[in-house]
Amino acid sequence: MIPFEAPTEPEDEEEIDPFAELEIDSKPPVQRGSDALDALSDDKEEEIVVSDTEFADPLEAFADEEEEEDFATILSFDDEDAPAPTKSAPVPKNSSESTYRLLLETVWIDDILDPSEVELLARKRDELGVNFERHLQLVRDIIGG
Amino acid sequence: MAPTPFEHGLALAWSDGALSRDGAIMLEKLQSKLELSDSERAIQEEAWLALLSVNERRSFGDGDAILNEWLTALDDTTSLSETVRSMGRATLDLGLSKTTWNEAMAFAGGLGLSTPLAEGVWMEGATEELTEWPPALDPLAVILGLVISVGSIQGTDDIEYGDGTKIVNITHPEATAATLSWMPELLPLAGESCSWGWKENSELSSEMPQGGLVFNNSVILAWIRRFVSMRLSRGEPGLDGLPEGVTLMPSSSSLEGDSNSMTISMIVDLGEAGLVKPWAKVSVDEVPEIISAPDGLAENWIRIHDALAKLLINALETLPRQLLLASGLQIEYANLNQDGDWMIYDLVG
Repeated sequence: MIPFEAPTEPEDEEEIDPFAELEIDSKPPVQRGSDALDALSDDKEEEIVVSDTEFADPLEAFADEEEEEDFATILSFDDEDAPAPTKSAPVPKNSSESTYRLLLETVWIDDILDPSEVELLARKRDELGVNFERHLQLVRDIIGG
Repeated sequence: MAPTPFEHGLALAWSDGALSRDGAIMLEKLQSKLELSDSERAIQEEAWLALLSVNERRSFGDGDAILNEWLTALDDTTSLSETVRSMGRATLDLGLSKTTWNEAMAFAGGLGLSTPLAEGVWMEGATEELTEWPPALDPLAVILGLVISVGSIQGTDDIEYGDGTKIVNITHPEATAATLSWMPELLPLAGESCSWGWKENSELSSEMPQGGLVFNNSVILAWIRRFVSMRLSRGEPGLDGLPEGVTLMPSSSSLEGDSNSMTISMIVDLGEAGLVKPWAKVSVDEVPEIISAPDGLAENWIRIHDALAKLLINALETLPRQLLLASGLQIEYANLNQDGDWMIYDLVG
């Protein structure tokens, strides 16, 4: 039993294991001869935007049977039928900063800041080029105040 | 809630139960020094005065002398900065909570001393060891917990022990299992030197291997779920690079391990487009490292893949530290290895 909200596997996952069914680990899409996602993500002209949503499945226009699609089915993101988020992701943050932020989030997860955690963060600020002012901004973002 | 600097000034000015004319003038000076607007001052003053009982009045206002001393002391900002920096460092040794951090920063900020306090807490530059502090900084010392009063000493909380299967184990003569505030379902095990198990017992697919620090994958999963849930509760996207409108489902996260890698997956809701399960693989051989996303993925998925991998790597790098801290050990760990559903680290030092 895993704590926090839910059992390890949701019920629907127990029914369908996309990893097992799609043999993702042993058979990447290119080897299966499918590279549909590239085509879908680049083919802006044929993209159909579903009203009132941010996402569209470009295959909808070409597959009548899609109307009967069961949305409870969970596809792996490298499945040829898997839709992709059509709205652009936010501009990627500085990778070093996002690494630092992840670390900063974890040190206060127990609500107590410990000297060894602070020492680690001070070292990481040097290594990752995060200045102290930015560090304080991140602290404010994470814990408020 | 800790008092603001202006509330502290009010308390000093009214310390004998009345406010003199000089005291009122000094409160004007304090307001100016703290750069408080009239409306900000009014809110604080009205709330404070509402708590002041008129029955406490016993003189015609001698508190101005005390307030005057405090105001004069606050002018020596150079000396105070050094002391506040040391106070920041000293409070870290006591364990600094988020609440204390926020309250102390608000108070020090009112005095223009938030930067030295932050530098002390976060070890930005060298600090002198704290030996004493001027009375002007007494309120800050109280907020930081540096003033230990008899009434504040608390007894040891009763520890709830579990009797379940061993899920985490630390092999070290000085390690002791304590209650984990950040994972309350993981209980110290009775009769074990330093082990934890889930409150609700769980069946394991394999026996725990030997090692300095060993824990089951289920702990990593719980850690990741908590981490993502905390982000969501702050109104942040659970993962970096998540496009707007894509909803993460942290409770759907799962981990699968093979001989030398781990795969993390988590369902995302694309709205009407349905549910999709991105995943990411991380090599687990001494140092965890990301394994590149499969070819042919859309750019948005690649970012989510990389963010998932980063999340897992972060968990593998930071969870051991939290467990060691909880056991009372201040030592490092290295050489991550995987044995079935178990993560094994060597303890160093």
